Amino acid sequence: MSRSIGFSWRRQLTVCLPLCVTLALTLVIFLHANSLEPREISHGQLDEQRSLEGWSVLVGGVLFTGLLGAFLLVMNARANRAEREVEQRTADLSRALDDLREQKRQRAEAQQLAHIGTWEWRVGMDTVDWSDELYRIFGLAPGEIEMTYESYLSRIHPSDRCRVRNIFREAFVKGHSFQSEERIVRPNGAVRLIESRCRAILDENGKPSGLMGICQDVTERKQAEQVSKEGESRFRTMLKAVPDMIFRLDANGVVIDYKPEREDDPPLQPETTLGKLFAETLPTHISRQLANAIHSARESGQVETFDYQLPVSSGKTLDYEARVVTIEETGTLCIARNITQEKHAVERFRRLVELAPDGIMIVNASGIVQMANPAMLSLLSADTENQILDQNMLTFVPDEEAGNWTELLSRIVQGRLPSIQVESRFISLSRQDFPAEINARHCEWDGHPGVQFIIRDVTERKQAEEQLKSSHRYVRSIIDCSSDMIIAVDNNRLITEFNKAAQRTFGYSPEEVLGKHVDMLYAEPETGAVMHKAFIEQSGGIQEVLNKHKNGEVFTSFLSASPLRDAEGRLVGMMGVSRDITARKQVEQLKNEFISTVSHELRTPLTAILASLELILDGAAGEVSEQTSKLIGVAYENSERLVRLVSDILDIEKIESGNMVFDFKPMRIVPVLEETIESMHAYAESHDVGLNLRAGSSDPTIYVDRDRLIQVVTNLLSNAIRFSPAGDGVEVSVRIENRKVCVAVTDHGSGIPEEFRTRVFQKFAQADSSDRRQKGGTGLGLAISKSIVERLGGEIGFETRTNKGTTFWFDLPEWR
Amino acid sequence: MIYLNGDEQLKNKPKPAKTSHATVLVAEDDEHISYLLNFMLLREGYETILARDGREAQAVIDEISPPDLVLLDIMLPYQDGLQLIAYVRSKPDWIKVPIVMLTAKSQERDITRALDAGANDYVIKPFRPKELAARLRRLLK
Repeated sequence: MSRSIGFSWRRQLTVCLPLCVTLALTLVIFLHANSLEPREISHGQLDEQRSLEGWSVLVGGVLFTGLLGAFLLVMNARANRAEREVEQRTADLSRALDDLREQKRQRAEAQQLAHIGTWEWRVGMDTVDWSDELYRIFGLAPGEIEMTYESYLSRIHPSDRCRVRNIFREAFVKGHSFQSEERIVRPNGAVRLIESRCRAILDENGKPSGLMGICQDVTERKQAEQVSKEGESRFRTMLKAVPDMIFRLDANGVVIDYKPEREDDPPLQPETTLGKLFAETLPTHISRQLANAIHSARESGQVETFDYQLPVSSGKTLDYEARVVTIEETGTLCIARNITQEKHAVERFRRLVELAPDGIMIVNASGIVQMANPAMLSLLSADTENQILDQNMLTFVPDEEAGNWTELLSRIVQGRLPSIQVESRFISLSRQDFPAEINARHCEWDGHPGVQFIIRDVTERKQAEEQLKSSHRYVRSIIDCSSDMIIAVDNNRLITEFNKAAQRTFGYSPEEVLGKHVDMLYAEPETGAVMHKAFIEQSGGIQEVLNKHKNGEVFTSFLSASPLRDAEGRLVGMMGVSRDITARKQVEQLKNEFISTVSHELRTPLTAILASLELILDGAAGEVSEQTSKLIGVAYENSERLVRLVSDILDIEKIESGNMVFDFKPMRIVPVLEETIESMHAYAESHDVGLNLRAGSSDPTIYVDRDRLIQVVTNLLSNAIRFSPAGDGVEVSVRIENRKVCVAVTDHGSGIPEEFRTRVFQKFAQADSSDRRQKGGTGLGLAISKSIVERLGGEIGFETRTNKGTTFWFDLPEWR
Repeated sequence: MIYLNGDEQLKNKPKPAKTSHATVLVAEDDEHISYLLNFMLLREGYETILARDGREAQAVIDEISPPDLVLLDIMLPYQDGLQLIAYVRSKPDWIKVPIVMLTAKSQERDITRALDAGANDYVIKPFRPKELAARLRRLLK
């Protein structure tokens, strides 16, 4: 302010000083002109001439001074005004300078903060004007050295230097601005990345007069960008690996990012999806759900989820679970996961649980029922789930078991016991208890530990087991009660069954034989394996075997065996039922001996009687009177009958016991018949019956035991003769029919009474017991004949007509 | 005990119908049948040598020169008829002596064995004296 005042005084002085000088000059000239007395002149006392001249000068001078003063005053006023203006301007300028300074400071601060440095270079100037921050960017203290254009370039990384030089040159020449990125090398060798812009400075003629530029150290930013880029790439890679479908929507619902769940064959094609409104892309029902979810997510700020089904080209539908979350204020991220498999799995599991034949129940740590499947409901005779849910499971177990279950539950819930399988009892709502097989296992239910039960009603199984047991006992008792030995072996012929009869017969205890080889029971062990094999091949069989008692005694047994097979028909062993036939053998022996004895002992006296009687009748002991002869004859005939009876009884016994030996030979039948007829002649004559053979031209060959055949024919002839009326004839005929040789013996007697016909071939059968003595048969002949014919491979039969006669026939296969 | 030409038991010797002087060795253990055979054979005019059991028969066979015929019962004490056949046939000078077996019907199966062993014929008991005589006559021709 003081400056401005001083300035004003000076201005006053410049106005007053010329006025005073001018006035003084005027007075001097006036005075000079009026006798050179300046004082007089100056006071106006001049001679005429001189006075005229003096006065004119004075008036002129005063006028001039007045004019000058006026001028000066005007000028001064103007100067004053200008000075005020200048003062004003100076103040403004000072303020502007202050502002500029402030700006510069701020700019430097800003540059420092932004790491932006500036430089300027002018044509003709060697130095480059650098900002402080630029020094710092280049790793220098501000103003440390004077920078030149070349020294600037020298600090550029050698690889970038040439390019930068060209950029500068081009910017200068073309007057354009350029942007580039280049590396610089700090004095300490550190390389930094800078982003620089340079622009030509143009003079008033538009000619480039220099370059100015700004530089920014972008090393950190670029690194961060790089990191971010890498991060994004990694993120994208990760996303690719995510098996979910991902949408990103902007505020308007346009799909701005879409990653299908699979690269191949995505349900939605990226090209038809990206950039579209989701409402246009997705099926209506899904887009509606999505819109709702987006709305809710915006409201709540939480993740919203919903499930939807997406129809695909194959006609199937896929199940998805979508999660929706708001991102970046207005955007939406939607992640959809294909849960088709899980859904199916869950569905399958649900169905399994529902259809499971076993009861499935889940209880919580306190034993409260949380879930029960239909089978469980039916096990507990509950009609609805509600009858069971929230009940304590202990109400379904017997009271005495409750303590155990409490303990078990707690151990399972705490994980001290992973699972248990027990057989216990359960009680239904109708208070009926049943045996159950219980499988309890630790599980999670709604995020809490619990116990999962699988319960099977084993009533039927128990019953079946009981039945099996009782049937086992039944079979066992049959086996044990059996008087026959029952011995079973496995495929290795190791003994698996040895019943009481076997124990008695062999003298072994079960411990001594079970698991041992069966050969120990045979007197001839080498035959055992062969027999076993044969039984397998023939699916069983009967055989006499020699067994060995524990004490070494050998005995004969009659073994009936058959292979043992399991349910699949696999051979598992052999079952044998065996009977000690030593006693039977002995009996048989006794019987044989008895028969032999009878035979011998009866025949011997009969032989003596018969021979004696015959000799007497022959008169070997002298003349016999007619009366004596008749009596002796009766004795003889009855002795003979007795012999026949003995013979027939023996024959029957032999045939029945299978001891009759047949000696088969081929032979022609007619000679045999002729011979038999011949031998019967005497007998026939004694009955006054004629015997005729009608063989025709046929004389077939048969394969028989000759003696037996004769026996049969003799029997038939003897019958026919006996039942023929005296003077009549008996015909024997032979014919061939269907490769069978048929022999018939026909009489013309009274025929066989109706009531007797069915018993003709029975033993000791006689039509009329009163006939017996009269006819002299034994009643065994036809029975023996039938047996013999059957053994010879033929058939025997008869045709009879009352009072017309009877034909007995037999046929035998023709021998060829 | 050997009965040569019968013995004192045969009080009434049957008169031989005709005399052939053929000798028959009879081995029969039953006393009465032996008597009857002896009676019959003597009546047929044969000489008889009687043995009552197998052992006796063997002793007789060892002792005497071969007879014209041997009549053997199959069932004999000590040695049966079958063994005696073998014994007879084992003696060279007895080889051609005809042997007739007497057998009960129950031992029919032995007949084959007897014939195989060297018997010439057999007669089943109870025999008919006439038939037996006829068979012997045939073999003694």
